[in-house]
Amino acid sequence: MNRFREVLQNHHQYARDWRAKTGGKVIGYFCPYLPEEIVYAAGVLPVRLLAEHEPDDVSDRYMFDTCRVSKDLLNQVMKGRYDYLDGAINQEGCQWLRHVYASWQLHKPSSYTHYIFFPDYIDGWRAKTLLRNELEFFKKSLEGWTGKTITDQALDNAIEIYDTNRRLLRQLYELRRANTPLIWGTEAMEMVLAGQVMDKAEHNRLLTEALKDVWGRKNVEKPKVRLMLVGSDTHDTALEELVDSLGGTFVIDEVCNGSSYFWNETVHQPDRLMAISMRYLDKPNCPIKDIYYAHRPERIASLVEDYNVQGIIIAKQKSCHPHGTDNPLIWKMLRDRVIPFLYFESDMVSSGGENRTRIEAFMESLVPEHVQVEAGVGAGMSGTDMMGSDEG
Amino acid sequence: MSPSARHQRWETRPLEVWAKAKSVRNKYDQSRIKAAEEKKLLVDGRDVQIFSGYGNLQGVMTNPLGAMTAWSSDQLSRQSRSESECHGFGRDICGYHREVYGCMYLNKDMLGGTFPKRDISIPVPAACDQHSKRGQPMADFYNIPRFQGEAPVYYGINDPKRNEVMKKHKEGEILDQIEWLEKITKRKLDDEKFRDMMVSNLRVKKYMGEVCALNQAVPAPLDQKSFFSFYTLGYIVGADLSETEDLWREFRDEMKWRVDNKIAAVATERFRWTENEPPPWYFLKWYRYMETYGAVCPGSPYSLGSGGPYEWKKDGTYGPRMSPLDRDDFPLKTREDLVRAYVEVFALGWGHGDDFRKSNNLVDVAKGWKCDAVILPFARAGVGCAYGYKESYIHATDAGYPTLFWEYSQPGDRTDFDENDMLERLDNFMEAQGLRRLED
Repeated sequence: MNRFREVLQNHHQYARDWRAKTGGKVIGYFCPYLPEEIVYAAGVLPVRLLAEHEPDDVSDRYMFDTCRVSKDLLNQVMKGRYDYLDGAINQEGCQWLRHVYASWQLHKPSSYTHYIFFPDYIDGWRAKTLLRNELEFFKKSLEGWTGKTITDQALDNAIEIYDTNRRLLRQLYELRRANTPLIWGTEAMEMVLAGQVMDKAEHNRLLTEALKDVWGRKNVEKPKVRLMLVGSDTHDTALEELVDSLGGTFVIDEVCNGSSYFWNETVHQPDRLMAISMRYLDKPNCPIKDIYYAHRPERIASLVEDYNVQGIIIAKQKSCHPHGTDNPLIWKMLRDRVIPFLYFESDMVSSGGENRTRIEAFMESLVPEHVQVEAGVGAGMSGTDMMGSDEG
Repeated sequence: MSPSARHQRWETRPLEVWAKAKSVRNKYDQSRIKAAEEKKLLVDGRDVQIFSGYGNLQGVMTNPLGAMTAWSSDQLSRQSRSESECHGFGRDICGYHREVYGCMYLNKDMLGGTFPKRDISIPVPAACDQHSKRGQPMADFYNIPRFQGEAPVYYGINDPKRNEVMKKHKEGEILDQIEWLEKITKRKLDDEKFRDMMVSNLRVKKYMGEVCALNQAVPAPLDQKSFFSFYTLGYIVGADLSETEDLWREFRDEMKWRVDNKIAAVATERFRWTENEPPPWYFLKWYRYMETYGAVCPGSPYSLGSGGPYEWKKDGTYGPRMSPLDRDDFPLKTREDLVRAYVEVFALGWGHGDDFRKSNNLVDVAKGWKCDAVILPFARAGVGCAYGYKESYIHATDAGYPTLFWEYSQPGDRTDFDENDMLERLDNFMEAQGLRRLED
C-alpha cells in the first residue's frame, strides 16, 4: 500500500527511473480524455501532469485569471520540473489547460507534441466518427515520432491492460460501498492517482496485491460520516486526508481523475480506434463535455444512493468555468432530493487547512448524535429519552 | 477659441448613416420582444442565415444581449447578476451570462416588460468554455428543444487532410441542424430564402471588410466607440435583409467619401491605439476621454473581426480575404453550396488554429491600422477574453509597441470597476508617450 503513496509523492523520479529501465519515452498529458491506450501501444508512458501546492512566481507573466491548477502546472513546467518529458499531448478539454499547453509550447517547445480534437458534443451521432478520424491522425503522428508502427496487437494489449486496471479500480471502489468500508478515502485516492503517473501493467500488479491485503483487513474503524467528493479535478489527497483526520471519509467521488477516470471499460470491436473512441465518449462526463442534456446530476444522485452517502462536498477550483456553470444544475438537484452539501472554492496554492472548520461543522451537522449532545442530552441518555417516552 | 478648435488638425462631421443604423437596431430589438406576438419562435442562437429559411424563427443571443444589458441599465444589470449569483453562478462566471440568466430568472427584459421566452436553443459552439456551456442553463430553464454543434479545432502543424475532415464534419452538422429545425418547426427550409439571406450576408460581410479596411486611413474616418454601434448589425443582430444591406453599402460609400476628403472621427487625431476583446460596455465614455488627448482607436481585432479574416497582400497592405461571392470555387446554387459557404465564412472555428492567433492578430492590426500603441483591458471572468491575453501583452511589447494593461471585472459586470483607477492609468500611460490632455 505504501508504494502507491511513494510513487505519487515521487512521480517525477518514477518517470525518470522508468525511462532509464525501459529505454522508452515519456509524455505528459493534462486530462483523462486523452486516449492513453494509443500512447501505451506505441511503447510510450503517458503521465498525468499534477499540480502541487507551491507558491507561484512564474505563471503571472503568461496567464491571467486562470485557475490555480493551470497556473501551477505552468509554474512547474517553466521551472523545469517536467524537463525529463519527451513530449506533451493535449486534447480538447478546458481552456485553461489548453493555455498551459500553448504557453508551454510557445516558450519551451517539446520535441514532440500533438493536439487531439476531442469532441465537446459527445452525445452527437457524428462525434464518434470525428474522434475516430482524429485518433487515426494521432496514431500516425505517434508512429512518425517513435519510428514504430502501432499494430492491432499492440492496441489489443494496451486495451486489455487498461481495462484490467479499470476493473481492479472498480473492485476497489466496490469495497467502499460497505457500511464499514475496508478502505478509506485517502488510500483509495492515492491508489487511483498513482495509476495516472505510472506504468499501468505495474499498477495492475500492485492493485492485485493491495486488494488481497485489503480484503483481509480486520477491525476496521467505521467512519462517522460517509461523504462524496464532487468538483474540479483533484491532484493530491490533501482534502481526503483532512476529512479522514476528522473521522469521516469519502466513500465515493465524481471527479475527473477519480471514479470518472476508470468507470467504464472498452467494448471490443474489430476497429480498435473506434472501440477506443466509444470508450472515451461514453465515460462519465466532465462538465465541459456535458453540454447537451446534462448527465452529471443523475450520475451524482445515483452514486449517492449506491454508496449510501450522507453528504457531499463540492470543491471547485476558483475560475473553473465548466464546474462553475454546472453549479446551479447540481445544487438544484441536491436541494430537490434533500441531499446535504457543502460548497467551497479551492485554491491549489493553499494547503486546504482553512477549510477544516467548514468541513468539521458540515460533518457534525450530518451526525445526529452530535446535535443531541449539543442540545444537552447527557451521556447514557438516548434520543427517545430526550423526546419523552409513552410512559410519560 | 476652445482647446479642441485650437488643436484641430482635421475636419470632422457626424456620420450621416447614423440615423439609419439606429432604425435597424431598433427593429431588431422590437423583433426580439415581439417574436411571440408575431407567432415566431425565439431561438437562442445566431445562425440567422439558416433561420431565415423557415420564416417563423427569430434569433437572439446571450452575446450581445449581456453586453447590451450592461450598457443600457446599471440597475437591471446589478439585479440580474445578483440573481444569477443566488442561483449558484459565481463571480468568476462570464458577466454576459450572469446578466442574461439573471434577467431570465427575474423575468425582466432590458427594454422593460418580461423576458422573452426562448422556444429553441442552438448555442454557438465552443469559441470559449463558456460558449460551450451557454445554451444549457436557458434550455433547462425553459425545457426547450436543443441542438448542439461542435467547433473542431486543432493546433500544431497544419494538415490539409485534417482540415478537410473537420470542414466536412461542420458541413454535415449544419445539414443535420437544418433537418432538425424542419422537424421542430414543422416547416421545410425554403432554399431560396436561405440563399437570399446567405448572399445578402456575404455582401454585408464584404461591405464590413471594406469599411474596416478604409479605417486604416489617417485620419481615421471612424472611431471605435461609434463602430461598436454598427459591428453586429446584419450579423448577430439581424434585421430586415435589404435595409441592412443598404445600410452597409451607404456606410461603405460614406467611409470612402470621408477618406477621400480627409474627414476625421476625431478632429485632433495625433495618436492611434489598438486594443482587443470587448470593452467595459458600461463605461464606453473612456473613448471620449482618450479623445481629449487627440487619441483615437481605429479598430481592434475584436471589432474589425466582423469584416475579417484579414491577410497581408502582396502590395504590403492588410485587408480582408476574398469573399466567396468573388471566388470561382464557391458556387451558391444548391443547399450544399450554401452550407459550404456558411461554414467557410460564418461558422466559428474549424480546422487548424493558431493558438496565439490573438497575439499575432493584435500586432498585425497594430501595423495595418497604423497604431502607435496597444491598450489591453484584462477582464476577469471572461474565459475567451482572458485566454492568451498576457501572451498578447508580451507579443505586443516584443514587437515594439508601448503597451498598457489594466485589470477590471468583465465587459458586462461593473461590480469591481473603478473609473478613477482606469483613467489614472490612462493618464500615466499617455504622459509616458509624451502627450498631455489638449483640454487642460
